Amino acid sequence: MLKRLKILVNGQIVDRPGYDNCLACHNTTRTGHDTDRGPHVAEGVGCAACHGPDERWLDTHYRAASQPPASLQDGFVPARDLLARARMCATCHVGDRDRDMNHDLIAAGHPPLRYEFASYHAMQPKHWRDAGMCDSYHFESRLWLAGQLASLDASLCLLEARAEPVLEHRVPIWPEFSEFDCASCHHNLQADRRDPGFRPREAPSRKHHSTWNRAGLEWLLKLRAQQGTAGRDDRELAAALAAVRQAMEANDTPHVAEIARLARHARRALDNWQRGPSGGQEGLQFNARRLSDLVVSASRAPASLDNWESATQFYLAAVAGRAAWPGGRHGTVPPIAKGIQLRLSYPQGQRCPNFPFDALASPDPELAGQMSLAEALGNRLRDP
Amino acid sequence: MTYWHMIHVASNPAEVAESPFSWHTAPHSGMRTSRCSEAVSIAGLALILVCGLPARISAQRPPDANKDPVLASWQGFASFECANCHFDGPVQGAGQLGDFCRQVEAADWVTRDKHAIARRRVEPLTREEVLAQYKELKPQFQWRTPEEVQQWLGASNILSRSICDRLGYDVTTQEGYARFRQNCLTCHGGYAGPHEDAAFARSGAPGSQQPGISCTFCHQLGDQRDWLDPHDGKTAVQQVTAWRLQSPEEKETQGFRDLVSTTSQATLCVGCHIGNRADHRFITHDMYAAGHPPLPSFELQTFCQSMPQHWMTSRQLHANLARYPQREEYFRQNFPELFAAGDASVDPGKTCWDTRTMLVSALESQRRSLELVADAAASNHWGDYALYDCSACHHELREQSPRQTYGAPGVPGRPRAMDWPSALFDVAAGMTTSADRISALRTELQAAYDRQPFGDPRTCGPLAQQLIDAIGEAQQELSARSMDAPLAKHVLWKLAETPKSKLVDYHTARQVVWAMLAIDKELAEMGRPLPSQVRDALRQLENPDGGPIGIATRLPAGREVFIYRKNLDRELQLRSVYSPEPLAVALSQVLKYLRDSNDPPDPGG
Repeated sequence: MLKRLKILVNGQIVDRPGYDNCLACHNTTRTGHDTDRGPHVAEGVGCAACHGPDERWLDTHYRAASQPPASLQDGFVPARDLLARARMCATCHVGDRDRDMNHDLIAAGHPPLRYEFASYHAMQPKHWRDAGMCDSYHFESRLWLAGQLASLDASLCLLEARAEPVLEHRVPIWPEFSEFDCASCHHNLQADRRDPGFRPREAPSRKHHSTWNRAGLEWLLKLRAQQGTAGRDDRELAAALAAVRQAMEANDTPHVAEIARLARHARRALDNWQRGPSGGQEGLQFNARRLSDLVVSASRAPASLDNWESATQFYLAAVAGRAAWPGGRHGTVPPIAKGIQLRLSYPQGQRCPNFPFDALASPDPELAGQMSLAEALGNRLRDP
Repeated sequence: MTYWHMIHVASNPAEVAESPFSWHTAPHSGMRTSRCSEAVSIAGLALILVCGLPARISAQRPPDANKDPVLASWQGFASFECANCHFDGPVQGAGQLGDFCRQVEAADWVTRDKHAIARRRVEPLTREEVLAQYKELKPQFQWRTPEEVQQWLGASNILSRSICDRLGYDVTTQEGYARFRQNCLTCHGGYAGPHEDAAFARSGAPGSQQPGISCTFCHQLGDQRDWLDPHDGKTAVQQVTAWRLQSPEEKETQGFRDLVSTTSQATLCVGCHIGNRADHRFITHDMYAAGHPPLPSFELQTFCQSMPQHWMTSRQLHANLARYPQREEYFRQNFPELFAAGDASVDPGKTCWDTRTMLVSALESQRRSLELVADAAASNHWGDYALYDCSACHHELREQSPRQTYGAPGVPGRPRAMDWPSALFDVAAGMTTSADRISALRTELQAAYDRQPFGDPRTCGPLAQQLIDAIGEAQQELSARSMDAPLAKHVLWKLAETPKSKLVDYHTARQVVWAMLAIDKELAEMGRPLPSQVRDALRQLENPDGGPIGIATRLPAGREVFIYRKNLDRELQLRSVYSPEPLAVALSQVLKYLRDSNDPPDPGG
């Protein structure tokens, strides 16, 4: 990859900013950046990468007098807070101003980033204890919500940085193709294959702005609107996210300054939502039942499941709320969920799904009868 | 059940030889009595509407205007007056006319060449309109077979309507149809402006509209018709002789387009086959996304032969004029670019005309592609995806893809400029004194593309213009170069040396294959065949439908061969699974046998 990107030429690093961009996530230890290395070289993600720069708290954090608020000021990340934890992971697994895993890197061989906090959290070997972990009815769904908030914020932060005037250490890359759904472009050409997401009066060659980091929260906003609980902050956030999507899809090369402005605006709207009454309400009440309601709501809007990214987020949301599945693992939901999971798998030898992706829209006679799998899942969650 | 299966089970073996479906086995059968029922015909039409008609019927049919709405339509147009002399073949008393032309050119055009029905094929019709027109016209033309029907109605009409709908052209209104006319019929019909609106009005009846590209679209400059009488074989011998011995430049002043010059001919063809935005001949990415089949790469010599070629090649003409006392003067006058440099070794009788066409037109293809780049850079069209290589984005994401394994020009992950025009261009430009300058400019242009996604228009535009100028000089130089058999072998050698990294793109690879096959064929026709081992190795490359190399060398050309849809499916399938490995191995074999041959070409040229 380094050779393809011409960061490494003849065994020498010739593009230091490009190399640092890699190390920002892949080697957070100082020695990785030192040219004068000692006999012991630490390479990888160190403690401080997640827990915060340790110069000011390393020697005090284990003392009884050291309380989280004081430590926070010293740079200590309060990882007990799920949102803070999710944000910490998102800096690398989504990106930020200093960590840009862009389309050039993907084309050189880096896998695209598909961060979903609840599932990542479940898979990581734990070196800590979570007091609420045994309460899966609340814990996993709150992980899901924290992850959606963190990844949406990180993706908007990254988009804003990408669209800002060129920074010293950044190559001017715009449009940044990794902002779009891979399958919009990456599919073999086939006669008469139609983009299921095509909407009349839109340019036929529209690229789809990636839904991966925003689908979950958009479903939540929609659920609140359907239930009549949406407030001003809900409407402002929904409008801000829609404006980003529309501007990104408006033409082949989205207007860079406009995108920067809209991304900044959407981040503010997200912050307001999170701190405001709507975010506060969800933070208090969010549980597996609430998440299942969200999945049911999403299942009734097939247009929001017309691409692999949304469909996969739909499945992961359903799984994160499995504590509320009627009948648990012996109920009628698991076979449907398994069917969805199989359809989300990449074809053999491929690293993306086939295009167009309509797996959740088409019925499976054995599992779903005449309904689509998404509808079947929603119905069984709603009415066991 | 396939289409062919369906129609063949309707006939017993004894009937097949006489059936309308047996043209491929009995090309010039006189009376053709259909044994198929009308039900089969309708079923076939239904299948056409779903799948298109894939079959190739290679033989000529005698033109019959009563059964052929295309021919019936052309007979009604003034521009088809060429048929007066160029349709029925040589007739007694024509004198030397038959030595200069085949006199069946117009017949070939309207009965065998797809260009002649290019407009009709894309007349935007709904499925219901197609069926209604079929019912209306069937009694008039006594259509018995799906092939007969599809000359006038078919799946491509429905595809065209679907494209128009998705592009927002409401072709049921005058305004919407005008947009279709201006953006589509410029290539599909040769529509040149409002003065031709009547010939390109919306209509379904044969004879009410021009079915495709006319003779004069290619052979005449605008509306200037001063050339008609002087060139007419019916006029006095002295007058015709005087016409023939005029230079192409003099003929152009009378409105007769210079198609003898390869550059001029290529310019005409690439105007549609690559594009010309100023003339509204440009397929935007929106058009592709709406359903327009992707344009294949263009190699003039191969395309001309596939049309099929309705004119005599320069080599045929030279041989045909053996008894013509002014033959040498004729060639000197009519091929001025060949003699421009005063190269004493130029001999029309020993010139490899096809190889020359291939090389000179390769320069023109690159030049036209760069003109599109320069035009876009100077306008607000920069970044239209249609200007970039389709396969750069349109591929499944595979592990160990050839692009990653062998590398591709530029920064990974960026839309690339079209690769294919450079395949033969590099060889052609390398034979001129402009080679170093062109190479340096191309390096600079690549750097400008690498600077940001889609390239930096402020740099790409001026660099493209500089390259266009340099290519123009190279074209003049190459056109004046004596292109004999040893040089053709040298070109073949160079093509066989094409590195694997340049064969990653299907279209680029096909350019190389087409060019090598064209050289092999020409040398054989000239009585200078390549060594048998080399020819055997080259035969591996020739696979009409893909074969082990995975590259379809046959074009879906000819009036009775349809691009949409089976051919398109086949083509797209080949592109999606293409790997450069088999071709690279085959080329290495060709190279080995060239080296081993008793008469190896000079690799240094």
